[in-house]
Amino acid sequence: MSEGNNNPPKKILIVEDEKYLRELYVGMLEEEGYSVDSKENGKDGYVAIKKGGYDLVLLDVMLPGIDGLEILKRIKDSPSEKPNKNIVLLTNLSMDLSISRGIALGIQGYLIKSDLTPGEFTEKVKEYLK
Amino acid sequence: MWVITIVVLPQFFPGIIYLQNKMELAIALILILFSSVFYEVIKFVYEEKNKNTDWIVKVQLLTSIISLVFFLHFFGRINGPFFVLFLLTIMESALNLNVGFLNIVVGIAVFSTVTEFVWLIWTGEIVFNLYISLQLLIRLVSLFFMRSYGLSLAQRIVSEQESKEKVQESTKRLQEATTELQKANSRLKELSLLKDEFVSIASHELRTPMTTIKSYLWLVLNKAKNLDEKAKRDLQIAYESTERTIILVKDMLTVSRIEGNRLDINFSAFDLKELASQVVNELKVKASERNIKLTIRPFSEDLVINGDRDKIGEVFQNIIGNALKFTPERGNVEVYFQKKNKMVEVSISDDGSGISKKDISKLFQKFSRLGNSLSKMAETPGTGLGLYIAKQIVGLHKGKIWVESIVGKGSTFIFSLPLGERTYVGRK
Repeated sequence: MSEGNNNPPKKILIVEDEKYLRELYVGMLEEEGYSVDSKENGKDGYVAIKKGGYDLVLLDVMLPGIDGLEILKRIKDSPSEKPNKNIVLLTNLSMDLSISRGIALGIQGYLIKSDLTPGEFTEKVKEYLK
Repeated sequence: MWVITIVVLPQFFPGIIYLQNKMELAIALILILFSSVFYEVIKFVYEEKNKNTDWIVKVQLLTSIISLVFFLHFFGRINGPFFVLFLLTIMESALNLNVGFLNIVVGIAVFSTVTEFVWLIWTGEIVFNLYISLQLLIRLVSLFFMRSYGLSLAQRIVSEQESKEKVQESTKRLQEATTELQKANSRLKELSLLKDEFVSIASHELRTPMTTIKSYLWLVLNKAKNLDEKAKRDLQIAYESTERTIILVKDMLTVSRIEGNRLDINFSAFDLKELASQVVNELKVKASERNIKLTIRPFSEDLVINGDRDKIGEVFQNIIGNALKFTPERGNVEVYFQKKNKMVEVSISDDGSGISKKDISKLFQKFSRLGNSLSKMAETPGTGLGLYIAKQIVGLHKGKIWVESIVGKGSTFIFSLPLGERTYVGRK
């Protein structure tokens, strides 16, 4: 479902180091009418998540600098200034460990990028934003 | 030499003196006792120094037997109490296990006994008759009997000791072999971990760019305008090949983990029916592309199991995915459940071409490729690892997987899983 005209667009943050994939996801989600911020490394990602206020954060696990799980740990220890409604892990493998650790750190779900087409990816994002 | 002098003298001493009364007899016995203790002390000292004590024993036995000859002569002759000591000395010599030496000892005893008899008859102290002859015979027989008995006893002791040593030796070798095996095993485990790590990293490194390629191909295929049919077809091939590679890489990682016993199973209670309908919904698009009717037969009861939801989901995906691959257009694929004792059986049936009995045995092996479906394999994504992985995952859940098939009519894949406790509270 696209955003209704009366409501302000929902805010999404994508933290993903793979440049082309990040651009593609940003493009797909902006096309759906969302307001999308993107960060390419763990440090910038952490700063943005800490600031908070997103409806959905899509957080890659393997990131240069600080990895996704470390960011989650830090946020758990000292919560974001404005809460983020959903944090979803992006992974490339169904790596049991990072997913179960992520769940322990309070994520709302995970998306396995390589299993999803961009269309399916967009659908999943919509589900999280419902 | 001083040792011999000191050792031998006390042994002879009691024998040399001619004892007339009980007091002197007592002194003789004390001296025998003393000499025995004396030998034991010397033996002990020598053994402490790790020196050979064999000769000390021999000297002791020789002096014993020779002094006994004297005792025999001076105390009661052959009817004296010392004859018994001959037998004991022979036994002791036999236990020494040196047959040559033993024969010398026996020889001395026999010589002494016979001489005493001859001496007594010669001096007229006794009269030679049948009774006396029998007495001599009994004594000689007892000497030889003691020799044989002593030897066999000694051999038995030795063989028992040898077999004990053999057992100890084998135990030692076994322990050494076990240590070697443990070392080799830990080395193999290390290597296996390295391999797992390599496959894991390689898998990630491969999947990142593959995901980007797949995503952009999808984007062009689905969003680009004015693509002609030829370009669309070519891009579709590239897309499907990419997807196949991604699945292959993923399956190889899973297989590597299964074979290294490192596939983590995160057990939790979940509803099998809910998982089945989720997977079926995901695959409905694929089914409808080929006009296949993919359905779940309604089942009224709860089917809660304790297991790894994602891994069982993979089993569903692999089996239903296979069924869709090998079912002709407008075919049917149905998922249904049955409760049997404390197990649930999940069946996935199709009306495809079926599998021959010969091929069924190969189905759950790694990279299994079936004779009648090679071409289909080539045109549809598949790694030949899906059913192998499914079998391993079901096995890790203490379940079974099998197939019933009639060529030309279709196949039914069935897997069973133990039903769990009713602790299910819905999915987070």
